Amino acid sequence: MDRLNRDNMGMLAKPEYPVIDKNPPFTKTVGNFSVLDYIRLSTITGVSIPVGYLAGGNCNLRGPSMVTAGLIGLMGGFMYAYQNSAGRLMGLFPNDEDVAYYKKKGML
Amino acid sequence: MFNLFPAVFPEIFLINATFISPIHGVVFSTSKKYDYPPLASNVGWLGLLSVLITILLLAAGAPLLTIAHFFRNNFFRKDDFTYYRQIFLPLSTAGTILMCFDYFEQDRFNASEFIVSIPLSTSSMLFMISAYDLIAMYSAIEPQSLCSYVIAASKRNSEFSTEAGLKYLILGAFSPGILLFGCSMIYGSTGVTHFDQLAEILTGYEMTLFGARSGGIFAGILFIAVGFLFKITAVPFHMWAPDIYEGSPTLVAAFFSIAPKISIFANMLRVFIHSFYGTTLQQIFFFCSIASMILGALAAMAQTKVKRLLAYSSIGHVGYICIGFSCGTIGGIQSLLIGIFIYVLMTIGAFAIVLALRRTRVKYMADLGALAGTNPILAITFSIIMFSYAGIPPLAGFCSKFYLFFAALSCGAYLLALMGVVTSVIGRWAAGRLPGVAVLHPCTGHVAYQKLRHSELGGINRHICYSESGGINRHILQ
Repeated sequence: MDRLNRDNMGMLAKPEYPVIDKNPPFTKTVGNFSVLDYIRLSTITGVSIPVGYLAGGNCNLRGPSMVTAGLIGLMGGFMYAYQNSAGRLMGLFPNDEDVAYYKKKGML
Repeated sequence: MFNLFPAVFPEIFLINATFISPIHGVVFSTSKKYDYPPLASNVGWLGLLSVLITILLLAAGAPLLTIAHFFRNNFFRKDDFTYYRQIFLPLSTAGTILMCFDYFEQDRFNASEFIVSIPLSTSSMLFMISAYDLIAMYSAIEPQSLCSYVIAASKRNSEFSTEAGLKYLILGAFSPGILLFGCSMIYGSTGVTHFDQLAEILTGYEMTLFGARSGGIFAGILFIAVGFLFKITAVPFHMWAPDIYEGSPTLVAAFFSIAPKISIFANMLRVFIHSFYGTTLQQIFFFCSIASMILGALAAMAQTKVKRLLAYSSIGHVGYICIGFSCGTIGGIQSLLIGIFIYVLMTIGAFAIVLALRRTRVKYMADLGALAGTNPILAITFSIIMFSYAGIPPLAGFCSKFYLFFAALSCGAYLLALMGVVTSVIGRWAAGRLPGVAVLHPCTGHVAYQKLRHSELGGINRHICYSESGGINRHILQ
């Protein structure tokens, strides 16, 4: 790490898009979730629930299986949305809308 | 360094999901309200869901590859190489889990904790692939090994499975021990464990089998090489593989022959090509490659049991893949990656067919005698896979061997290429025995065959089409 630029937070290459926050905290990243992020989260959760329901069919455990699968899907969907939101803040994903929002707020 | 955690979200998610699954399994399988249901299949679907979401997180997190080093001492590295291997690994795991549902039903297998060990082992292997430090590498290898010992002995009412698990535990305890000893000698001689720092220290360091400036570095690299060769079942460290593949449940044998090789070869490439390049004992890998190819071809000829034949074919293929590794060139590494990709696809197909035939208790090769008459499509599919194993053009196995031999010729390893060709020819006889028995030989005993469900047959055939088309379409592979 001594040989890497500490300002780059250990990154190999410069981010392709404008950097809003090199090290966004948890609250800022979750607050930056876009509509698409929420759609992703709900889609993954929504797909997981019927998978769990169907998986529980053989052993008459539809309800609990649905809940467990939904929990796994919710966790995965949240991580997927978080990954995208953090990537946009760090300038690794396309972030035109986020840049415009933060410029409008005077935070960029 | 909070921003660095999104880069390891796939691993974090898989570990958390794998912890949720056994809790679900334990709570509800012991529930009187639900009449103590068997949950192996149910937990299997949850495990498959977890692995598929992991693949999604890996694929969507591609731009996060610019995060190079993270955690305090830069233990892990995410780059294009990590991305490729990490995407491939859970895909292979998903393929293995898909094979298990019918197995649970046929064998009335009720250990839901079994299916949890597979994603847990996969999460360790994800860390192995991105490990960039000897300590991180070893810390990731151990959980993967522990899960393997557990699933090898998962069939508690089978003494063969218990024997396989015990053998794997005892032999598996040696190889990480040797590996760790080698890592400690390297640390003692150089004072560092990080791969970049090792590469800086060992650049230009001359070493051969007959001498080195530092005995510690020589011994360390030797022990690390031996530890890895144990793990990939390369000759002469292969002895455990056929017994364990035969004794373990078929699904477990499929997992052992597929997933660990992806991660171990990734580790070997980082350690020997990046850190120890120039000091690598290339002669050892040459020898092990040739010996594995020879033994894989000759020993497979003498086998009568299907799983042992596949085990020795696997050992032979490790020898072919080691050709690419032994070369130490970019072409060699590319051919190695292509070889592993094709090998995994062929192995999934072969074991899927063996598992599909479990209803008929196919154990010996002679039991396949009536396959062409009762299940002609499966017989043709099986034949295609075994011909691909044998390296017959234009199948994918031929293309994988072509790239490997070409890489050997490009770097001047003519003996390696020659031995590869000779053992391929010998191996064709061994690999051709299975389709020969299935298609040409009449059944001499009483065998009861049951018609496969369309979904099973369609799944197997789709897999074969995709994998063998890779032999024709090189762009998929390069």
